[in-house]
Amino acid sequence: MATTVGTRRSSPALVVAGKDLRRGLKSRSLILTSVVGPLVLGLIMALAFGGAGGPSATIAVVDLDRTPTSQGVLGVLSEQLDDGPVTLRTDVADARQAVADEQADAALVIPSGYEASLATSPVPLQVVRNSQRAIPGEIATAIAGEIASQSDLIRAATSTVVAIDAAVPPLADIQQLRPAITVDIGDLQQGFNAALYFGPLTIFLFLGLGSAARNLVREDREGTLARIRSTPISPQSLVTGTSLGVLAQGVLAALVVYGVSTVAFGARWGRPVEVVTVLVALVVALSGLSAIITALSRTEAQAEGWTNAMAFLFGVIGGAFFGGAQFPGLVGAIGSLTPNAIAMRALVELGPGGQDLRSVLPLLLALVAIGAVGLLIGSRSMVRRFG
Amino acid sequence: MQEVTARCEGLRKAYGDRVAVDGVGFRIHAGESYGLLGPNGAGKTTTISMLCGLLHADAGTIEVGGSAMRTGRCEAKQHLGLVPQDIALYPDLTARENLRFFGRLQGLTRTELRTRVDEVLEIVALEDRAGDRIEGFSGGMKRRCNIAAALLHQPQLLVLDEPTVGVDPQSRASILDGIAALQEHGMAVLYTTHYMEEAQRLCDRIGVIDEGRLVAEGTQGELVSAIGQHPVVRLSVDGDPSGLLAALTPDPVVVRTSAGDGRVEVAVADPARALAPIIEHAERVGVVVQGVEVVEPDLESVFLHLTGKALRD
Repeated sequence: MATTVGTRRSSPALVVAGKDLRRGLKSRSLILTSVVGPLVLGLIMALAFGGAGGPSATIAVVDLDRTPTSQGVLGVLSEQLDDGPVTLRTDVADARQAVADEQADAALVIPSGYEASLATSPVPLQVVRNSQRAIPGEIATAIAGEIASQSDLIRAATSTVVAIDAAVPPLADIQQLRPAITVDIGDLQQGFNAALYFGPLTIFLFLGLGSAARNLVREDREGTLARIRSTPISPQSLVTGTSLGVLAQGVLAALVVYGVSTVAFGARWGRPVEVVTVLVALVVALSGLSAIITALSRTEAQAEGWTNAMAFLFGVIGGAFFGGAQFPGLVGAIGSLTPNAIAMRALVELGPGGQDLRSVLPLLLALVAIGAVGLLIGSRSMVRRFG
Repeated sequence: MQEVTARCEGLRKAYGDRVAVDGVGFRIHAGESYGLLGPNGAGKTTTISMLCGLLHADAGTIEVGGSAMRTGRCEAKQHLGLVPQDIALYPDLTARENLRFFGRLQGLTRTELRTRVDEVLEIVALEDRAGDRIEGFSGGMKRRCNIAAALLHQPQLLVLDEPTVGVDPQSRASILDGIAALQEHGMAVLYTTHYMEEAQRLCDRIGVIDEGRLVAEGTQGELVSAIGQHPVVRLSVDGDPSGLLAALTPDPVVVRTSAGDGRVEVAVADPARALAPIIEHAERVGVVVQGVEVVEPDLESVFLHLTGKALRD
């Protein structure tokens, strides 16, 4: 493939992709759909869910157990939720009212008998949610899950202190053992921070899936496709070129959203090279899906229909806002195979302090494979249609 | 005999039970302009689509520039320039950007493009508007640029599908002059049009297609002769023409006569020789001749005779 040397011929696929990009830039549609749209939506979400720097939550806590252990958990929560102060409430009714009045975004209830249950079967913390405040509810639920999963550590820490003093352990002693009972919500907050911009990005990438198909249908109607097909260009080059256009637009959108959200809004995605690698792999996968839509669509309405169907399906079952598939069972399993869910998983694993690229290589390969298979299916279908 | 640039033999295309093209074949030589005429739905567009490799033929063979034409990528397409009936350009790109895009698809290098884009813009007299978007062009300018995009790679065969639809007379004249100039440089032209005067002016040979079949082919003179059409002397007269008809019938220069609505039509073999005797016959039988018109048979007559339809039906 050559495009820059004056005496060499350009690759037809690159020529087609370049034309689509040029037209997108001239009409400003590329800037709107690939840059402005995702950023505006991300900014709106950031502001709606806790400021441009990422989500925070005010969590009310009700301590019905009133034991040293519950006090220790309360202390840990106070330190960990430094972005959203913990407020203490007297009882469940008081907490519900605080959540209803939006004085708190969600509430955690340490039930009576919590300390005693640690010895046998730990009772979980209860969560009071406001249906209008989805993210804080998710945060509170996640914290309750974290604490439940560490009940063994909490029990061990409590036992140790009791063994040392043989008396009721003071709160200060519990907190000295904080490393053992820390509720690690740092990664959780980091994941949400990235997802807040990643979600809108995937939505706009999905909406752009049909752009290649729409372009091709429009070119067919306006006669330019006939002229293109009267030149020595193969159907494979045509579909590759249109998909490359989608890929380039997608990469541009991803880079802009990543860069601006990081620099301007303080979003934390992870190490740049790794994040960009994941985003490019995601766009490759979506370009493959775009090639399939292009091959399937004979009219602009069909292109629109396929795009909406795919965006809705993948967006819902794969998750577009909260970091991957949210459904249980088979639907959740299928959702975890969608490109957006795979990419989100990779981003979470690669987050600050996370793993390196080698650890997510299978995920990256899966994304590239989706793209390659999509392109292959699309090309074959285009050959049957035009070749 | 000049070299054959394009050759179609036994082309056939059916859509379900409907046969759109049935056994069409023709040849176009270098420097020749071949007109493909036919009423709407006759099979012209299907034939052109197969010739340009846009549509797969059910049967038959096509060669352009000595190479077999087929859909998909093939060498024959390097020898072909298509000017579609629609303005096949991107309205939001400039003339130069459009030409560069199509030139690259034709395989021109950047160096070649720099030269050729300027040359074709000059051919279609658009060099001053090279940097303007197509959407700002007049209809005639768009048509000219539409042609320019097919000339970039200097094809052996230029296919023009009704290239002057909706064009003002000045632009039409410019386009026809340009095509004639290209022929002089050895380019073969396949031309379809609804304007009979364009076909008469431009085409060396004409193929008439109707209901998917090539019903006649030849030069304009050959076609007129083949259908046995004669020039007609048309008289506007006062008085009863029956006496004149009776007087003219035995005259050897007269082929046939007809009359009606104050008009007498006399088909003759040679109008120059027949005109004076006809006037003399009229004076002799007391018919006052108010006007005389000689109507030569043309492609319209041929077309009507062969297809039973006017060309623009």
